[in-house]
This record gives sequence, C-alpha cells and structure tokens, in this order.
Amino acid sequence: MTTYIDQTESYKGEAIKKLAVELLKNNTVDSLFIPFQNSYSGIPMPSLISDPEKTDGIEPIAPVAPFNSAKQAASVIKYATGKKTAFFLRPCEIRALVELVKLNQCTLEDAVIISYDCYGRVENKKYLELLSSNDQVNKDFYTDESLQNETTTTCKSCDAFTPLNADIAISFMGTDQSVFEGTSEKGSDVLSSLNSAIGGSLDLKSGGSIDQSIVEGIKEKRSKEKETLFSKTSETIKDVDSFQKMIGSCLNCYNCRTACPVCYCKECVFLTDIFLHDPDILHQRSIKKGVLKLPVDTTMFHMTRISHISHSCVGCGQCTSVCPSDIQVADMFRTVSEKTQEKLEYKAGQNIEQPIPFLAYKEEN
Amino acid sequence: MSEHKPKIVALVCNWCTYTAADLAGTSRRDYPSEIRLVRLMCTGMIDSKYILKAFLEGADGVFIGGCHPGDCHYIDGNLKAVKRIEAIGIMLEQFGFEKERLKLEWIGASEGPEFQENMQEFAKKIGDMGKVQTADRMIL
Repeated sequence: MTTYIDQTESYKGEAIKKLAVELLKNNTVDSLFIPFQNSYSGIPMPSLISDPEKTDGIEPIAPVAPFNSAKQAASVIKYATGKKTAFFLRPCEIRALVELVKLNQCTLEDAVIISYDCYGRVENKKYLELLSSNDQVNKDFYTDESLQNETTTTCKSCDAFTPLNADIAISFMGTDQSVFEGTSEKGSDVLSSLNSAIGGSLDLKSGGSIDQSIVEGIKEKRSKEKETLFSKTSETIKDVDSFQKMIGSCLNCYNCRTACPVCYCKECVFLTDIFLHDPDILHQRSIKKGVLKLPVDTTMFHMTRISHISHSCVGCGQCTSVCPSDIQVADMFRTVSEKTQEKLEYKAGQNIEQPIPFLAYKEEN
Repeated sequence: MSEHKPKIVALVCNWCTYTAADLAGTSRRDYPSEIRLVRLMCTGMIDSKYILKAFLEGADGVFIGGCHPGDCHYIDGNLKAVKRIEAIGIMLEQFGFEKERLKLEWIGASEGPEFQENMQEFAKKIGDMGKVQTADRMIL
C-alpha cells in the first residue's frame, strides 16, 4: 500500500486536478475521464480529455453530478482499446461501473479508477442557483456546512461515501491534507511511477494518516438518516394502494430509467410493442374496472423496473433528481433494494468477483 | 354475497409440468377450474413482468411449474428461474403481497397425480387466503 500526501493546496479539488494533469502530462495515462467545465454548460460535465494543454476547465469535485457517469464511462471502455484512461468517479459511480462490468457492458482492463471521499451532490438546478450568487461554490462547499446541507436526500442518507473498488483513493475526510492511496496494485504502480517522473509541481510525499473516527462519525450520522428514511419509505410502499399514492402523478416519461446507471438494456421492453396497446385493449381494460388511467401501466412500469434491477441498484439517487413530478423514486428503490440484496446475500458494486445473483445458480436441493 | 372464487395463473414449462397436466387429463384426474394454465417453453424464460402483470390484474395466486433440477430441456433454465422467482418474491412481499401467493414447484412429465395434488393444494390455500389486494382496485 502506497500513500502520498499533497500539502500544497488547501482546496482538495486543486490537488486532485494537479494529479489529473500530471497523469496526462507524464503520459502515465492516455486520457482522463473527469468533470470538465466547458464554456457552454453551467455544470461541469464528464469529459474525455487527451490534451494536457486543455485541462483548465477540470472541476474534479464540484458538488454536482449532472448524471451518474457510469454509463458514459462504460461507453469509453466498452472493449479494450489499449488507451489507458484515468476515471475520476464518485463512489456511487464506481459501484454502478462495477455492476456494468458484471453485466458484460465494459471491461476495466484499460481503466485506472480514481475516487475520493464524497460529501454528496446538490441538485443541478440548485447548483446553478448557488453558482449564480457565489462563483466560488465548488471550493466553499467543502468548508461551509450550510452548503453541505443542500445536498440531496439520497446523499444525506448515503453511508457508502468512501471509495471502494478504486485503484487510487483520495481521502480528505479526517485529514488536513489530501491523502492519495494506491488501493490496488495498478493504482500503486501509477502513483509511484508518477511520483518518480515528476519533481516539484505536485508535492507528493510519502506518508499521511487519516483520523478514522471522523469518517466513522459521518458514517454513523448518515446511517441513522438512512434508517429513518427507509422505515418511512417502507410504510409508504407497504401495499399497492399506498404505493400508488406515491407514484400517482407519474407521467410515464421514463426519465428515471434513462438516468439509471444500471438499467442497461439497449431496447427497454416498455418502449416495445408489448406496451403499445391497441384501442380495443384500452377499451377492454376500461370496461373491466370502469376507469382506466392514462397513460397506462404506470404501476407495472415501476414494479417491473424494481424487480429487474433491485439487485444492482447502487443508490445514487439520480432517478429522484430527474423526476419531473417530484416522486421520491430513489427512496423506494433504495428501500426495496436493500432488503432484496440482503436476502440474496449480494451487495451491488461491492465485490467485482462475485457474480450477480441470477447468474450464480447451482444445482441445489 | 357469493363466495370469492380465486383466479390463479399457472405458468408451466412445455416439457415437464405441461406434459404432466396432459397426463393428468388423459388419466381423468381433474384439477380446480380456478387455475388458468399458461404454457411456456421453459421456466427460465419467465420474466418478472409476467408475474407482476398477473398480480396487478387481480390474480390471487401465481403458480410456476418446471422440470426437476437436472431434467431441464435447456440444461439449466429451471435453475435460472429459482433465483429470479426468489427475488420477485422478496420484492412482492415488500409491496404487501403475501409470499404464499407465489409458488415454484418442480413437476416432472410423468407426474400426473402430483400435478393434480399440487393444483388442488394450491387452489385451496389461495382460496382460504381470500382476495388479493389488487382485486377490486384501480391499478395505475
């Protein structure tokens, strides 16, 4: 295990940015997959950067995620190209990427995954609002607790905020510095070769320690939030009647499905003819119950999606963020998924070696 | 008030359980009329949406019948079904469906009497449980 510290910068984002730029400059990697503030979008968008001269817009830890970038990351490493890419991802994005690897959607052969302690994200709209009144919001977020309170419900109740399955983990909870740690062989090699290649601009020194009690404290607080949220949500979905009250205003836009990083089917069954009903069928269904709400199959859609992906749900909360009707989709997914995964003895995104439960069948009696 | 007659959907595999149903028929072993058989090529092709659709349309129970482990016409389709059905069961329970309403059973092609017994037993149990929560409810 190799750990290095960077003492030159008080803003952790700057230290990560320097690491990224040096990785590219020294040809340790061929490209970077990292949030990048271009001149058009107000929100840093995940971008694939290959020119070290064009790295100014890198915003590695802006407290916003336009979407869970695992799907986009997977599109870059769909198959091995020999182009080594450093992926700067949030812990929930890594979890989703791990699930996509297991679903044969991509390979990690050319990937170096770099992640960091996640303080959470604010909704896109909120971020733009904060940005309009404070152009230093990316930086201030990490020191100002009132800004941290603006994060999403999902983030506030997420207890898996430390990097898991990353090659390089960057810690800044429980330490004044940024501690870079090679958590896999690949990551350690990258860090040590980078360290010997450069002198000066990135002040990497061996050492660095993390006060685990601070990390544990945050974890405990978030776990408690999670418990409260889950028990509340269990009550909301306790039967079909209550569940339908929750999703009553759903307009079947399928945004939640599009935003979901692990809903990976190229052609979703809900867009096929199976759910394109003829007028005869609609009349028939209307006559059966007296009233048929349109569009139809809303309950069916949500329940099917839960049953299809609850074993892989990584709890990133993007489904709630994209809902135009303000339905707390993520709360219900996380609540159901936690129980499903617990009973199937599986944890989404945790162990890359463990096959997804539906493929791990044995002849048992 | 007339007594509630349950509706049961049975998703059965072509090679074993459906053949067993055929055998039961030719042996004049009748099974409860509450049960609607749907023949599928394999239990391994059962997607959760078939089960969900049945329950949301007001089915009181869903029975799934396949080949005994090792006997699958497609080698291991029935084993794939096991985990999926288990996962759907876990999910349905959280939405207030009693887990007894969904049952997976292996019935081989030669087991006509077993088919009849299973159907009678399941129909009785579902009948005793009363109406499913979706029975008279508007489903969005």
